[in-house]
Amino acid sequence: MNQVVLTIGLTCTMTFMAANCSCQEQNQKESRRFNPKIVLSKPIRPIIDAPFIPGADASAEVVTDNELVLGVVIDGESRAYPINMITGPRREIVNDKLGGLAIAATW
Amino acid sequence: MLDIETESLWSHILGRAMKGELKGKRLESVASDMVTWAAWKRDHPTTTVLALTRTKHRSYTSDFYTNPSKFVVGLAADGARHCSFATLMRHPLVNFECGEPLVISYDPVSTSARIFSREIAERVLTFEQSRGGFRDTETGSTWNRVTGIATDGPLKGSQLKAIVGIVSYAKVWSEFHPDSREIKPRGASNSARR
Repeated sequence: MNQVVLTIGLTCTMTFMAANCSCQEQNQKESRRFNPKIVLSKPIRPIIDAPFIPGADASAEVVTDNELVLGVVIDGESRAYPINMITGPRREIVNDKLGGLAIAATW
Repeated sequence: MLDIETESLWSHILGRAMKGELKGKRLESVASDMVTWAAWKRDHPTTTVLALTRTKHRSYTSDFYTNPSKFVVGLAADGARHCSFATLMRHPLVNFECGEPLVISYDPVSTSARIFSREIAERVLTFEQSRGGFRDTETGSTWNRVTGIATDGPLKGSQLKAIVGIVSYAKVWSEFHPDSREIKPRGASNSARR
């Protein structure tokens, strides 16, 4: 990947058509099957400034002990994204920076 | 997914641009954990946490707990492979191959499934479940399943390479990887490699 930092938003979702081709080459097969469908009526604003708090300060209102999170550690810095906060087309992608790395937490 | 800078379209599960100026480019996958909040904050006391409201969409957490067979952990290196969480709940430690010797370690309390390479210091290890983690049968060293570091035994201090595993609905995984082969524990029926 070249050194371009991307901001990612979701304006459509991907569907695959049934692969009815005899083509052997994987890339061509995928291009033919790649059939994105727009499911949102207008482009959404990408999430680029989501709020974070220290884990120690998170009450049950924010996240409970048995709720599932997407956790990541980069260069010693750790962060959790509660999955119940990132479901649905408007939340599925969180553009973020952690441990000096530009990342997208996606669901 | 779409990037604002070039409006290229990306497959989320493949991590690759499928259309537009950046077609063919891949995003680097970063190893992450799907795990309970209790386990994450215990293992990472200085963690920060996203503080948005919960969405109104279906609760993924309860869906996962009530229907683990709907979910898989998958990877696509030398061909795609996946393992059902229903399997992992019965067999929390599975040695397998996907281009290289690997192991899945599942912890039912935190619900995390982690994948590690079984190759270390030019040898291939075979793992079995042990208290608090797993143990290799070759040296008897015990390993921490969160860090992949051996905490005891002849290999103490060595660290296994963590491999990115993708947690996904089984249906979605099979749509993007229709030829994916299921990982089953050795000794189970249908365990012969195809």
